[in-house]
Amino acid sequence: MNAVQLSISQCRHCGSKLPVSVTTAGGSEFCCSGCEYVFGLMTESGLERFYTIRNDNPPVCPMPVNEPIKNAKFEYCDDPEFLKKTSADGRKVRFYLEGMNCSACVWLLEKLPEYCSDVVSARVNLADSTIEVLRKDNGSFAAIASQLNRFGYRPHPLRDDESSHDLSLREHRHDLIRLGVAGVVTGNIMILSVSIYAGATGALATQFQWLTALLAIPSLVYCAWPFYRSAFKSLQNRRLNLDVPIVVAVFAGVVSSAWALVENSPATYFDSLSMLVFLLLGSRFLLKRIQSRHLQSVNIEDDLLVGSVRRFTNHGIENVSVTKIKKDDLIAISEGQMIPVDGRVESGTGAISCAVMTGESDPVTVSRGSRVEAGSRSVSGEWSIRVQNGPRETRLAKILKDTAVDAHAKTRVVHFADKTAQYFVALVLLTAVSLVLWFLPVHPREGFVRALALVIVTCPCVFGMAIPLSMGFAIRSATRRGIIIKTADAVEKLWNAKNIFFDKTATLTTGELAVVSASYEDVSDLRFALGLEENQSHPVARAITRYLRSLNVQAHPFHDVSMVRTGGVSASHDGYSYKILPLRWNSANSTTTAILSNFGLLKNDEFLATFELADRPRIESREIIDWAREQRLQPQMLSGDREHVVRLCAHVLGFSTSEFRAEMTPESKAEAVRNRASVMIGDGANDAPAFAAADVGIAVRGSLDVSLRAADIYLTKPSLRAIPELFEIAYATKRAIYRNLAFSAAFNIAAGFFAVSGHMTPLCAAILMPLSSMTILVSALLSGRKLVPNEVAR
Amino acid sequence: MNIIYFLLPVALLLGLGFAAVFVIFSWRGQFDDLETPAHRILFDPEINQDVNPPKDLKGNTV
Repeated sequence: MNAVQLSISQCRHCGSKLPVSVTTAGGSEFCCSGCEYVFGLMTESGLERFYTIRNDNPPVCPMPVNEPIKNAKFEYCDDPEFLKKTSADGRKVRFYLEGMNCSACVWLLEKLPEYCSDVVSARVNLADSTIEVLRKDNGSFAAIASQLNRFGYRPHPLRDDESSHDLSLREHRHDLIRLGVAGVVTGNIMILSVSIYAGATGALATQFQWLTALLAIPSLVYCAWPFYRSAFKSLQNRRLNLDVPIVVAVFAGVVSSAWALVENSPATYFDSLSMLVFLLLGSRFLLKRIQSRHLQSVNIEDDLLVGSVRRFTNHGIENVSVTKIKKDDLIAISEGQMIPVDGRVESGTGAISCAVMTGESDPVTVSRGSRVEAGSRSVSGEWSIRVQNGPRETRLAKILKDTAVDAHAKTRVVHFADKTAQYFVALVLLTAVSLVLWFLPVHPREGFVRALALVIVTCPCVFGMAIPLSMGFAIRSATRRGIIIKTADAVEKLWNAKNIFFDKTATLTTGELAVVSASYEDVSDLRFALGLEENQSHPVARAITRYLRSLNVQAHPFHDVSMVRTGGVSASHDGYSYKILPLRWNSANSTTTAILSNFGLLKNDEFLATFELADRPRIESREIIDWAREQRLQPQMLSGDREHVVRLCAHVLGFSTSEFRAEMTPESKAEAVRNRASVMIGDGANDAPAFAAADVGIAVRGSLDVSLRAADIYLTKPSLRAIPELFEIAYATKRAIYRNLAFSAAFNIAAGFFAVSGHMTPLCAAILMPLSSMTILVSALLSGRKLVPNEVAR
Repeated sequence: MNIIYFLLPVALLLGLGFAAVFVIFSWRGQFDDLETPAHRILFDPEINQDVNPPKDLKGNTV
């Protein structure tokens, strides 16, 4: 047992391979602190069986859980107004969960009632990544949501109304029944038809033909109804869609077959017509299933305007819903809270992170009179603000609103397949009509037969089925890899991308401060630094604490730690005062140090140590940029951060001076990417306008609701390595589609020629058409299978 | 050959019966989620003897 564990050296929680440095150092069995935390929680709650189930049932999750969001607040889940939107009876809510992948996840999540006392029952739907939770009468959805978050499944409550879930479920059932009926009918018709093809004659053949016609009625009336409706709609809009020739073929087939039936001639086509309907329904059903899973995320309720804040009133402090906040209210802000309004600080001091709005990585100090914008997050301190703009009038709200409009107005690329299909359909119908007219004076029946053969044999199934199917596979294969693609449009636009724009903070960089170097005389002095910073929540303090802990420094206990300025702290001991202060202002003349944030540990006024902090680029960033150059995608960096910080980062990542721009606003980023065959990769609200303006917007982590509204693609894994995978999927899909198009063109030209020249009977056409459709479908399925691996490698 | 006039309706009725069953269960949601139950079946129930002990015909606990 030990030998096995040693040789594999996987993280005990997520099963990902551990870097060599971690394993050789000995001890750690986890890839990150998040995994260690969740593992601890699981064993505490007696849920160790999760790991047995996971390891016994391949495929093992590639990454079963995300790192839980620290300090995530879910109080809004209990807000009555919020519940009105998400739950019909107030007791049942469906959550979309990130990170649900395998049997073990199902097991763990359905055990929810056992370890969460607020839950009566939990039901998982793995295909949709949703869980339906029924709470106890006095239970709290906030508690349930935070329990889910603790295990690393980020919960997103889903809207529950007639228009979404129920309706799509009903539609799904209806489609399934149509398909089933068509299948039964076609199967029985084929049994009868085979005997006719095999040479049955006389009374039996006539009876069989009548029976076939009778059986075909439900298929041609009930099952084919969606085609009639869609063809009718498209004709109403003066367009030709793919259903028009199908409907024409069905009508022509029915008329000529009925005629033949009455005349007692063998030329009836009820078998081929019902087969056509069945095959078309089948491929569309498959396609819808693959696509509908991903549209779910659109129903995610946004959490910006929900939740409650503490408001000061004449009677004290009350909790009110964010939507009720008005101008001139005074509200209290505590640590970790997302600020929902624009306002001015009234009392108290603290620090905020504006990363969402500006991309600036360093926290900013605020004190009385400072202006704070909605979307910033309080990182330390307790303070209050006077509201200037209510939650719906803030700059953030305006950006989001514009984004929604922009994304809506985004010209949908007219798919080249759609366009080609239009011409193709028009050509086929024109040829058929002219055939009928040409033969009308001499041999009306001959013209009609040839036209029917032509319409049946040239069914444009490659457009109607193969292309959407390939797109569906692309989307599905991406989902397996943790990439959510909102629409198939995005895949097509990726083919033509020429420029790739990166946001800096939290996209190319980790978005977190870390100590990059430290200098000190005596290592024992560091214990004062740890003692000062240990219990602070400021990002600087956290970075220094992490660094010192990794050096195994023991903290010196202080009792009177207090905060001074941004990230600065002070305390006293034995008559000395110890301080950690930012040095940026002191050493403004030094160009090298000004780039980074420097902090010094002082004993009275004597330096004991200095720390250099920076937001470091992700390990894979350079690799991704080099990859982009190889692919002839021009990489560029856009950042809202200050010029010198961006310049340094650009230098490290190998961007030339023309390839990065600093100090950009969300609006100027959008202008930079507009109309340039661009892919924008970024996170959060400050990139939302750029996502909407770019041809393809890819959101990295960030908040799901904000990003998904504007972005076309969302990466659920923190690594940028998903981006080359995404492009690979898009290119492979393109190859598969072009191959199918080439085959289909060759087939249709050849078959069309034979039909027009009269060498193909409608019967022959009816046999050939499904054969060619099947070939194309199989080809699409095979290339799709290559994209969607059945087993994820361990 | 006359047997065919008996077999054919029987075959068609059989088909109709299956179609009817399919339609009924589709409406009841039998095919709404085809993925999760396949996973759910893998977990052995953790048998809790106290909750519902098996009983013989006279109602005595076995």
